Formats: sequence, C-alpha cells, structure tokens
Amino acid sequence: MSILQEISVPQETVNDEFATVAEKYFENGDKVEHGETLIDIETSKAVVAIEAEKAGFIEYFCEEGDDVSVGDTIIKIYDSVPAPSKETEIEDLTAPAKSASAVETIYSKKALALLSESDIEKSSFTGHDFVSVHDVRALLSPEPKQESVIEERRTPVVEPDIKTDKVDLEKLSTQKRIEIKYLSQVQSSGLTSTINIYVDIEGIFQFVNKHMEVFKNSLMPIIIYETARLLSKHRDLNAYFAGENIAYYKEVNIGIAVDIDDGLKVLKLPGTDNKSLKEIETEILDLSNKYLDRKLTLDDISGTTFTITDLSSEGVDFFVPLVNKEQSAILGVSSIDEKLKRCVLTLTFDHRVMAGKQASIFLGELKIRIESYDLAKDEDKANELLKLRQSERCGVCMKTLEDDEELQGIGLIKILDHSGIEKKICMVCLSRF
Amino acid sequence: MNKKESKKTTKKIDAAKYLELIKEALLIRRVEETFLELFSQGKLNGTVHTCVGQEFSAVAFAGQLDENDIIFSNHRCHGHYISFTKDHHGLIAELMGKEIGVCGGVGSSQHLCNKNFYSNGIQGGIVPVSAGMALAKKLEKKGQIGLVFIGDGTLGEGVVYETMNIISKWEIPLLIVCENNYYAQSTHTSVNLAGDIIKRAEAFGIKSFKSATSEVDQLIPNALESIEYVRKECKPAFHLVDTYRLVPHSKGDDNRDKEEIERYARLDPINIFKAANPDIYNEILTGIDEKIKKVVLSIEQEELLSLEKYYDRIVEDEHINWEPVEAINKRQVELLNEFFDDSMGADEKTVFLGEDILSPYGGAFKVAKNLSTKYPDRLFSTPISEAAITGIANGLALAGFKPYLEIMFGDFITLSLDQIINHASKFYHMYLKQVACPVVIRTAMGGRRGYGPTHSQTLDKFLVGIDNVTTIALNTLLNPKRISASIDKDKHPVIVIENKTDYGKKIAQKLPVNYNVEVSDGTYPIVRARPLTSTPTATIVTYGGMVEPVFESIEELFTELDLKVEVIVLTKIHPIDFKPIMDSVALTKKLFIVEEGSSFAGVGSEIIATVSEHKDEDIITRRISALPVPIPSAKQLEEWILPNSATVIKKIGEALS
Ligand SMILES: Cc1ncc(C[n+]2csc(CCOP(=O)(O)OP(=O)(O)O)c2C)c(N)n1
Repeated sequence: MSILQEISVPQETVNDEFATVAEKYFENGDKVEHGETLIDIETSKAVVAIEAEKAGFIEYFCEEGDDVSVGDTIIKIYDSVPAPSKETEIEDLTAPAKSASAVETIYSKKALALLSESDIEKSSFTGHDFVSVHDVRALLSPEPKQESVIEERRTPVVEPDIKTDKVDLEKLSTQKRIEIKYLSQVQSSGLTSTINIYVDIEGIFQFVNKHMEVFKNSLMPIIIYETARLLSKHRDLNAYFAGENIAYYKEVNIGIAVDIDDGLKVLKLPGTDNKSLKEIETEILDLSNKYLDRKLTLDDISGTTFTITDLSSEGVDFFVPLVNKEQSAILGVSSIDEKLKRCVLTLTFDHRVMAGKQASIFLGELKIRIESYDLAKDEDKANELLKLRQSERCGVCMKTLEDDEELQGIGLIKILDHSGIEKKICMVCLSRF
Repeated sequence: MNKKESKKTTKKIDAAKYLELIKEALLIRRVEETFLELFSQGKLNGTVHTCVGQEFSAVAFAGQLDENDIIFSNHRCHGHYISFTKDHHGLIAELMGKEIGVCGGVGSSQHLCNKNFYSNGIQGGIVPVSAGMALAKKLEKKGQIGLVFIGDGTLGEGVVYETMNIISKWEIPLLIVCENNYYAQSTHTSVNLAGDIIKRAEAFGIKSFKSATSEVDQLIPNALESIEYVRKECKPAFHLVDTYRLVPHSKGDDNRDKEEIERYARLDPINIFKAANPDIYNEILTGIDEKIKKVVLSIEQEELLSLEKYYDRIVEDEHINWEPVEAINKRQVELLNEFFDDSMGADEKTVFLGEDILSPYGGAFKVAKNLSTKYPDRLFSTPISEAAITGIANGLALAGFKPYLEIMFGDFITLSLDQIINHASKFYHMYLKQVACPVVIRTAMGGRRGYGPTHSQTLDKFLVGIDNVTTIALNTLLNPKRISASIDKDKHPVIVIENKTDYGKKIAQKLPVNYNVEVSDGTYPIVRARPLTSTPTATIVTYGGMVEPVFESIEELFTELDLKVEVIVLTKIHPIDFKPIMDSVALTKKLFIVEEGSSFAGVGSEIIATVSEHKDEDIITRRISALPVPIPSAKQLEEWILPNSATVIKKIGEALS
C-alpha cells in the first residue's frame, strides 16, 4: 500500500490559523476518482472544496466539525484499501466517550443481581461506564442526606467608606433588595455547583412548530414539560435544604424566570407534572400577558419548587444561573448554536442537598428526553404516506385511499386486467363485478 | 627507603626553586599547625587529618600539575589543595565553617572542591571517579591528565584494582600517587599489606615510579617525569612515594614509638632546612605566620552559610495538565535503542558504558544494539567491575559529560552503591553546588523469567530516598524516549529501573475498557487511569513492571468487588510527586500500592506514610508486593512469590472484607 496523494489544510486566508471541516463526502476506504470533491473546509471567509488529484482509496484524518490547523494532514489517498491503523484504534478507546450510547456499560455482579430483583431497566444507565451495586441502590432509594447543619452565612454589611465626590449613589430598589435576599439564601452557603450539558436540537423544531401554536422555534415548552416529569422522579431537585433536614416538595410547581420590562419575576406553573404540552403553552401565554399587563397575583409568583431560566433570546453561549430560595436547583437554557445545532443546558444545584452525580444523572436524562423529539425521520414518512393516500385511487370509481377510509372501506385491492395490466380497485367496485 | 633506586634520577633542582618549594611546604605545615591549634580552641568542626611531615608529596605532585589538569585527593588533602590552588584563605575559612570557605563550610577538611581540585573522605572510591575525569580529559584531547592521591591503607580497597585494570586497558591518563606513610590510621602497613605494592600496579601493565619525600632532590624531577609520562603517552602511571607523618592520624590517636617518630623527624626536609639556614627559615616563618594570623582574624568575623543557601526544598507542580497516552507500535527496547542512537549522534558529550555491550551482542537486553559500531569512541564495553565503572561514570559526569551506565542486572547494582550514595549523591551539595553530577545509571530488574535469586529481584527500595538522586521506573504506557529526554536534561544523578519483561512490549497497547488513560505534563510524567464517567472509589498506585498486572485486575475488581479503581502509575519513584495520589485518595479513602519487590521499608511504605501524614480521615491501605524471600527459579514457585493480577484482587478483597 502506498500513498498517492496527501492533502493538508490549505492556507486559504492569511489570517486563519485553523479551519473547520464542514462536510466529508466519502467514508474511509471508499474509492474516489480524480476530480471528485472529497471534503469541504470552512475558513472565516469561505467554504473551500478540496478535490482528489489522484484516483484511489481514501482515508480521512478528521471528523466533521473538527477544527483543523493550516498544514494538518486531513486526507490520504492510497493505491489500495487502507487498513485501519492500530494507533487510531487504541486512541479511540481512550478518547472520552463521544456520545452516551458509545459507552458499553459494565455491571458488577451484585449490581446485576439487584437489577434483576428490581424493576429498574438497564437503560436507566445508558452512558454510564461502570454500574456498581451502589449505583443501583442510589437509583432505587436516594439516600437521605446527612449533611451537617451549616449556619447560614451572613455577609456582614460593611458600609463602605464612599467618597461621594468620586461616585454618584443610587439606592437599590426594594425589588432588587428582595431579589438579593432570595438568591443569598442558597448561594451564600458557597456550596452550589454548576454542570452543563449539550443538547442536540436537530429536528426538534419540526415537532415543536407543528404542535405549538405560539411558541414556534422555542424549546421552552418541551423543556418545562420534560423537566416536570423528571422532577417527580428526582426528588432531590424538587426540594430544599432545611437545616438538619431536606424538605421535599409534594408538588411540582415549575417557575419560569421572565425579565421583560417589569423586572425579574418567577412565574408559577402549578402542578406542572400533570399538564400536557398544550396546557403548558397556554399557561405560559396567560401568565406572560398578566405580567405585561401588571396583573400578576401573589399566587402567580409564589410557591414555585424549581426554576427554569431562559436566556436563549439574549444570545448567551452559556451562563451560571443562581438557585432561588427554598429550592435546590435551577435550570438555565442558553442560546442555540445554529451552526452546531445544539444548545447548552446548565444546572446549578445546592451541594448540601445532592451531589454532582445525581445532578448529572438528572441532566443526562433530560437531554435524552429532549433529543427524542427529533421527529424528522418520522415526519418524512408521514408525508410520504399522506401523498400515497391522496394519489392512489380505485381504477373504477376513482375514489382515493383517503376517501375509502372515510367510507369505511377496507382499502384498495391489486388486480390484473385482461390485458395483463396491474390495477387497483375498491371493495365496492370489486363486489359489483 | 632504597638509596639504590633514588640514585637513578640524575636531574637536580636549583637553589632558587628549592627555596620556593620550602616556602610552600612551610606554608602548608603552618596552616595545618594552625588547624590543630584552632581545633584545640574548639574553633574547627569535626576532625582534621594533617600531612605534617608529608608536605613534599603535595609540593612535588599537586604543585607541578597544569591548572587544567584534574586532581582528586583523599582525607589528607590540605597540602594537595594548597599546592594546587595556592588558596590557603579559602581552605582556612572552609575548616572554620564559614560561608566564604571554598565549600561554604559544608565539606570542611575532607571534602574540598575548587575548580579542578576535588577531595572526598571515602577510601578507594575516589580512584575510579578520578579515572572517569581523566577519561573525560582524554576524550577532550587537550593533553590534560588526572591525578589521584591514595594512602597505603587504601590499597586494601578492591575498587582500586578494578580501576587499575581499566585505566591500563583503556589507556586513561591518570597518575595514581600512593603516599606510603607506613600507617593506616593506627595500623602498620605490615599488618594488612601482603606482597609488594609496586608489583600490584605492574601486574596490570601500569608503569610505576618510586620516590621518597626525604629525598627532595630526586622526588621533584621524578614526580615531573611521571606526570609527563602520563601526559605524553596518554597512559596511566603509578607513583609510590615513601613518606612519614610526624603527627597523629587526626587527633590524639597515635600509639607509635616516640623514637621512630624522632628518627623520621630528623629526615624531614623542612627540619633539615631549618637546621642549615636558621635565619632564612625564621624570616620565612614569621612572614607566613603573620599572614595566617591576619587571615584567621578576618575569617572569624565571617558569616555562617544559611540553611536556605544549602537546602533546596523540593517543590511539586501544583498544576497538572493531563492528555491521553499515546500508543506506539514499537517495542520499548527499540525505542530505548533509538533514543541512545539519537542522543549519541546529537551530542559529543554523551557516552555509554556497560558490560557486554559491544555489537553484535549489544548488551544482555540489546538496548545498546549497534551503538558500538556507530560510536566506537564513546561506547565503553567494560570489565565486570560495577563499582569502578559507576565511579568512572561519576567522574565523566563531574567533568561535563553525560554518561549512561548500564548495569546488566538490577541485582548487581548493590556493587555500585558506594559510588551512588557516597559520591554521586553527595557531590553537588558537599561541594556547595559548584559542580553537578548528571550521571545516569540504568538497570534491568524484575522476575518472571526464571533467572533465580540473584538475577530477578526488584530492589528499588534500596535505590529510593538517596539524597539528590532521582529514581525512575519505566513502564509500558509511556514512550521511554519522552522520559529519557527529561533524564538527559537532568543535572543530577538519575537511576533508571527497567523491567526485563517490559523490554519486548509495545507502548500503551493494553488499556482498560471504559477508562481514560492520561499522562501528566510534568518532567517525569505520571499516568492516571480513571473511569470514563464514574467517580473512582479506590486508588491503586503502582509503577514499573506491575502496571500490566494491575490493569488486568481492574475489570474483576469492579465486577467482583464493586470497586471503581483509579490507577496512578508513577514514573518517578523518588522523590514522589504526591499531588495526584493525595487528590485521588481524598475521593476514594482507599489506597493500595502494588510493587514487585517485597514491601517492608519500600516505596509503598513511604507512600502510605506520607499520605497518612497529610490526611486526617481514616484510609484503608495495603501494600501488595512480593513475599520476602529470594526469588526462586522454579517457575511455579516464582509465580507464587511474585504479585500478579490475582494477588491484587485477593489482597484488596481481604482489605475490604
Ligand atoms: C571506605 C573507608 N573506610 C574507612 C575509612 C576510615 N578511614 C579514614 S582514613 C583511614 C586510614 C587510611 O589510611 P591510608 O590510606 O594509609 O591513608 P593515611 O591516613 O595514612 O594518609 C581510614 C581507615 C574511610 N574514610 N573510608
């Protein structure tokens, strides 16, 4: 096997140190012909297509979406099919799992025994490397936290020696001071932690836009809907730290943080876990209108058990939300990266109530649930079916499959006519023969 | 003293030259007598060995060398020092323990270093070191030579003969001056010395000379003749100098016959000069004494060396970056061989020494394959003389070369220990950081080859904890070239432990499933294997040949014992970078050390002790190691003795039950 052509990232624009692999047109080992486009490389100024100068068998040294440096070898063309190199194989093994499903979970013997006695599905552990008996137990009954009581740390109010000739003083609004107080309750412990996860949004909006009337192109309704369902399972996130105890809420009342004109407010969606997607949409609309009309009642903004804050319209890549008082976690939704078709979900949680692990499991499950809305494929099938139903007709009475269904027929039957041509006929016309 | 022999020399020295020599000898005597006085006043540290009565040996040899020659002296070195360096001030300050002393007061009487002058208080060991330095001179081809002083008592040290054999064979320009004062400490030569001294040197084909300090007329030209012989012929020589010490060995340890001492005192050249020229003598003496008095007075005002200037605390890297280990489709031994080929090609100062390393054999484990054909001048296939070749490597390192010494089997490194512990380890500090000794000693350890008790032991425990010596254990996860590149740059001694069964393995081929195996970015990298997503629940620290058995145990440790282990593989087993271990144990509270040698007083003990000192919580710990018996040849028996993956699983299981 010898190399016929070695292709490296071209210096297309003098300023670019690296470029991004936009599209690969072949699979490793494919035969390529002279002049065929092999790859698209995106630089800051343009997309550059690179063509084969030799016919042969291709091997790529990059993945789509990779940032590659100018001069890096990205493709080799060989005179015979390249064997996958041992080094890459081994590197793959050590590389961090690309997606949750790429990891083949290993279970300990005791974990397997316990799993077989319980009604937990193995799929609960998708993406885990090792599942021990402790992991299974943790899922069965989250252990009560034995955190020691931590005195609420009060930040001493030091009146700073302010030189009014240097600055202008403006008093904090009452609302801002209340907000600071609320946010201090959890944050002042210093024991919060934040984790992030990417969610692939490819195809999700097709679903959203079909089913939502107003909230087109927004992930909020499904995030709220799925979070609510997960919260009833992950009790630690629907709870709060209460001295020597953890207080678990009996209801799931998700609050959504809005800040349009009238300052930051958290609007309550009562009993969120029992609401349908449509109901959630309507409720958000109602509450938003009340907010804008300044008609919110006290009940509308109190008694939330978990908060979701959405800064996706603000163009932020990712941010650290702060946990509200008497809650143990908050979910932040960042903007959608249109190029990579993904967005970041962020969870800040009170470490006194749960550890990073539970929080990560929650976030991981939420990701999987949201990504399952990718209906692109099903949608295509449905459209195809629709076309079929409208175009296929009875060769005699000309009714379509759709009409036949309405008339409670059994569908169309294929027959061969006397000249040997295939035709379709409905049950009614058939029985008339 | 044999009149017939000394008459052979015909050249005489003139009066002016003679007066010079007397002045120098008297300066030496008065400085040393001052030392004895200061000692009685409690102003000196430790002890002193003076050469009163032997000064002319110093004057004749040390005084006649070129300043670029090198000289290595022993415990009785003040005279040699003054004659060679002409620096009595630095010497007095040194013995008085002051910072301005030639070694800041660290070395004192027996451990001096000033430019090309060195001394050390270990009998015999200095001979191969000086041979190494003389070899460096030979390789530099500038016509410089080495000279080493030993006493008659030191003829009892085996390493002297190992070195004689080598300097003769390799034609190393080293002059051995044996000062025979008829006593070793309190014991007369006749008690311990068999046969004939000169014949010992001649048996190795070394040209020998003989002189006496009582016959200065012959001694001086004789000394010069032997020096010039070594220089011109580029060959070693042995010069036996009869002499006599008129004062005790050091202080108050003299049981010799008074009459005998008086008889020799009458032969002493300084005493003879004094009797013949009392006025000149007194004038010289007054001048010298005034000079010394002033020097002592000024030195008394000087400061002591501070601890900070002497002791450098070892600081660990706080920030470690981790990156995936890189698999390499080459055997460890090939990569090592490539490294030596590359570095010998790139650097003229790189030399390779070892037993049986000539091609085509290329060493017992073939690391030196083809090097002797490519670099015949800098590859030294040595006699079976571990002590001497280690000393020679030390000398080369002191003289600015980068010597790589291969000790064929790890078990044999015990024969090198004097050179490692008393020389390589100490030079840098005891010479107050004026020189460094970047020697590298590589050796193959480990069992599982059926080689039996003296060719299989992993005795790393004897090689850790040596001050200023870094100990490295190679493994099959990292490219040995990367580690060797750091070793190559290290300015201090490094011992490299290789594993016999690892030589033939390729790099990073067998990695545990669902693990991230990463390497740190430090000088001597650490490998950390941790589960892809789970938080580890136990820590295993291991190194060298035990890496594979530990990796093999990982899956079963999980499936059977529910343990998600984090494995930390050390490369540097002394001094140890503890941060990754501490961090891991903070999470897991369980620490298991897996080592191939037996556990008592070993690396595992040290890791557990250090971790315990820094952690307040209860930690479950175990050392998993070989049984404490010599390693048997019989295969099954050997397997029972050495730890393997099954041992790891069993011992950890026991620790947790
Ligand atoms: C390896 C070693 N063993 C023992 C000693 C202790 N020691 C110091 S000097 C000395 C006597 C050395 O006798 P010799 O070599 O004749 O030298 P001299 O003292 O007569 O000058 C001894 C035994 C030592 N310094 N080093």
